[in-house]
Amino acid sequence: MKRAIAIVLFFAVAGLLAWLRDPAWLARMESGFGRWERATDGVVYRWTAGRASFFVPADLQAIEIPLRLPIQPGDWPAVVTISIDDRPADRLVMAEDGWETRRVLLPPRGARRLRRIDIHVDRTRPGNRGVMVGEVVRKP
Amino acid sequence: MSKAVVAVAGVLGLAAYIFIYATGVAHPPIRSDGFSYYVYLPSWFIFHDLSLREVARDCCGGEFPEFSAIIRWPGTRRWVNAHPIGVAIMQAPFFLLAHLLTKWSNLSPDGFTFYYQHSAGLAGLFWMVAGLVALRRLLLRQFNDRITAATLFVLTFATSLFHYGTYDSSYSHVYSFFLFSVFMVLTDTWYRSPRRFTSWLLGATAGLIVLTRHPNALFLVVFPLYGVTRGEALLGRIREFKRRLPDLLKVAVAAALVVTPQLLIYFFATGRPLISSYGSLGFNFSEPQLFGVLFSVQKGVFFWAPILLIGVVGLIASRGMARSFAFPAGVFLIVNSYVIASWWDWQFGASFGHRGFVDSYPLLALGIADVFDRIAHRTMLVLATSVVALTAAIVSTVQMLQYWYHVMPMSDTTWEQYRAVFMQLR
Repeated sequence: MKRAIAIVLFFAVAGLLAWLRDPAWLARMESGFGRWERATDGVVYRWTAGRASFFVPADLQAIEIPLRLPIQPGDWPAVVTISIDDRPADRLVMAEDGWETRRVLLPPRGARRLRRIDIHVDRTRPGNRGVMVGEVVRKP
Repeated sequence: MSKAVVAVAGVLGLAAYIFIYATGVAHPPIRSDGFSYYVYLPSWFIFHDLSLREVARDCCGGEFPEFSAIIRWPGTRRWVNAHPIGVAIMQAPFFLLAHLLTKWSNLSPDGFTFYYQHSAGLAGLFWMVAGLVALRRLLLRQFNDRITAATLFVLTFATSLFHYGTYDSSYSHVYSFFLFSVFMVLTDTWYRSPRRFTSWLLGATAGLIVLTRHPNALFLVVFPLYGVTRGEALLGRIREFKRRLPDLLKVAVAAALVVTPQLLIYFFATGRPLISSYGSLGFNFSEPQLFGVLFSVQKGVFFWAPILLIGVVGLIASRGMARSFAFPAGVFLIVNSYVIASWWDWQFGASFGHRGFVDSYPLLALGIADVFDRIAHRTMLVLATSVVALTAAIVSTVQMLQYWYHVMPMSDTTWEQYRAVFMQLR
């Protein structure tokens, strides 16, 4: 009986791990974003924290990420790094206010159906606000 | 029967936990105080950094948010966390599993994504259930299974314990609840029938109690005062300590070894091993808000969990093993109440009931069990007490839901507010 339970458990854990390797629900998984807001120029955006991440389909060719940092006189600029699956893909210094759209090319599809995009900001504003991110455009 | 109560608490706790986060009732578990208790883990295991600097750079643009109570120490400018490392140590196995799953699923391995969040949340639930298991073991040394089951039931559902094992499970309170329960089991064992490793385990548990919440060091008074009921007993205790000096040394060495990493962290951050990690926040010992913390509508522990009053009465009139804990419990509860009432924010911010007392529930459980035991042979009293206990559990559960849905204010509740929404969920 114990052996049977151990075998069932082994296959259950193996099956669960196989499923968790590349689950479809990751497409809806995000972290480090605030709620959606609308800027005075009408653009819909969310603040990131120091780091934010989201997933996009791996077969896309590119994505476009609108970024903005409302800099006040005397504020330090911020360095924003965009990574794909932990590999740096773009880096920009945000020293002026205004939207800037970054086009990020995705590498050819690998073993997974989704790629993770991380946005990291080297300094944040009060309330752990990093950078404003508009709606990401996906380019097939 | 008492086993079933623990199992039901665990299953209902898991169901409530899933409900809370699947329906968005609460923000992800690593929040508020839970953030600063947890933040050591990504710092140690992901950034391989004891100073918290790298995790601050990654999560928060180099500066921890103000709510975290992690401050730059004047002079060194290094980070000092108001909350010690004990909770993080007890969350570590869950964190490591979450880290492996995160890498496996390609989530961001930054310490704050999905699996990390719920490793911290579910760790709290696990330690609440483990605390109930330990407390059950203690209660069964004196009381029968039915009394133990009834005690565990009221403690879980007629107080804020369930809330701190589910909704606010990343806070330190259920960790302390577990450690206090284990410490009481080991104390009783140490005096009555010590085994080979009892002294080492007792010392390690004492160390973890201090590491989980520094003011809880007061609880360690339970060990030397256990069984002391008269002045002569105190002299007998001193003689016993002399006789069992080698065992006592083992307790001290184990406790010191467990506490040492925290002292080293403080030393590297500030140049001193002993500091007040809360910085400028502190106590106002000349104006303790004793009525506030014990009986007020805002946060009074006995207002929000009146069943605990039975525990106080029971401890005063207790017998057997419970009697051995009565005097140290009295000393601890009085001093602890004074310390909590003297804290600058005596309500402890947003909390359901007064969370400062959750840690002490194992002591009060002994008193509750003693009262239940005394009336167990009087049918009418059993019936009346069952009705009172069930009513207390229902009212407490509804009030907990009111807190979850913000029907009840998070703090500073007034009598008018309380009355206006009494037993209403909208």
